[in-house]
Amino acid sequence: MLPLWIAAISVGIVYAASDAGRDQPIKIQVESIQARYADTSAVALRRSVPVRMDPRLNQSGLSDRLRLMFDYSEYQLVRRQSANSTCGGAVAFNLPGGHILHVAPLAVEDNELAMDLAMFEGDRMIMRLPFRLSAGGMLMLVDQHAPNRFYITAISAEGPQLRPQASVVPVPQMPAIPPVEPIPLPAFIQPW
Amino acid sequence: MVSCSEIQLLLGPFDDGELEPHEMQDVALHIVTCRDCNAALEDYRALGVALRNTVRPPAVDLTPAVLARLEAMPRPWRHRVRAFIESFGRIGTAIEVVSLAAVTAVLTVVIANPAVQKLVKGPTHDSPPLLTSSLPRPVAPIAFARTSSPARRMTPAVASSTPVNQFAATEPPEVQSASAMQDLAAELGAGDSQSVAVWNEPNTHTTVVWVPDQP
Repeated sequence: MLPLWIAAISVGIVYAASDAGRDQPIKIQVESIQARYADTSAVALRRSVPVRMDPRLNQSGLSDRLRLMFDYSEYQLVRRQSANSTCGGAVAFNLPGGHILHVAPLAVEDNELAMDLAMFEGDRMIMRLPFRLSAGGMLMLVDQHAPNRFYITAISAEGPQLRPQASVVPVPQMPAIPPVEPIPLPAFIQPW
Repeated sequence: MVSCSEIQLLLGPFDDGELEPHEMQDVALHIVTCRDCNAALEDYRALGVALRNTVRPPAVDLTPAVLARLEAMPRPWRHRVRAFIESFGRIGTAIEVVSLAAVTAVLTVVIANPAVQKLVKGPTHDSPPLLTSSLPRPVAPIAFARTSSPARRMTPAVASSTPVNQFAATEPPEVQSASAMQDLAAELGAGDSQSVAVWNEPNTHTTVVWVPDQP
């Protein structure tokens, strides 16, 4: 009988150790951005239009990501929300435009957060997305509400088990400026 | 009043003690008062004794043969192991404890192995395969669109065809094949009548998913 008790206790300890990570808190951050084209004819004609970026989006490199992934000409932060959860739990966010986003962290494996997302419009689910989010990564859901009004929902996660890698947003490399050689003056121009 | 013919039918069971108590009492009372039935009972007993005397005891001892047959019969492995361990006497108990401890240790190592845990738990928790943010072919941006309603055409093609980043400038955007689009659309739970677009930027671990068209 004693060996059976030892076996049962050992299995319990191992199982508890393997599930210890499930209680680690995970902070889910959801940022809602409204994007639009300032001039749709510019898009059609591929004309360069200056980008108007909400200065609040400069935090956490979100503006760089937006510039990298989209070509809208205006970005405005509408709402920034965050909630703490654990693997096995779920949190809900009210999105601009009346949608509700459910985020359910499932597990953290290989520095990635496996989660299940569901977007609702009222009581109707309009999208379900199982997703694996890298540490430091971001998922952006784009929802078109009008011909020229898009809501971008940027979802990121932080937690003790998610170790963000070094900044991966590339910094555009400017070409090196060669040293300027003095231009010799023509012979007929004499300095005073 | 019980007749003699009825009593004589019960004499055999009466002699063997197989009657009900009230029948035993009736037969006993009758044979005390009835000489014929008493004589019939005596004859019955004498016949039984004579029959028993005619039976000879078996000449061969059956015990070893029966034991040999029992030994030859297939036995459960638990009994065999138990018999084997008990054959060692007190050392057998120690062997039993050590072997169970070894089995426990092996089970612990197996259960603690992450590969085994992944195998048992599976890649997801009761969910379809996860869409990973690192698609096999890291190109930026991967874009595709499948529109169901011409009135609300999705515009990722615009975003992909006018790259604003250096990666897209050096690498042309790849458009997923129709089958890949359908697979991913099914993975996203959009069904056949919805539009889905996904593109990924592996350098920034950023994935963009278009919310399907709503009716």
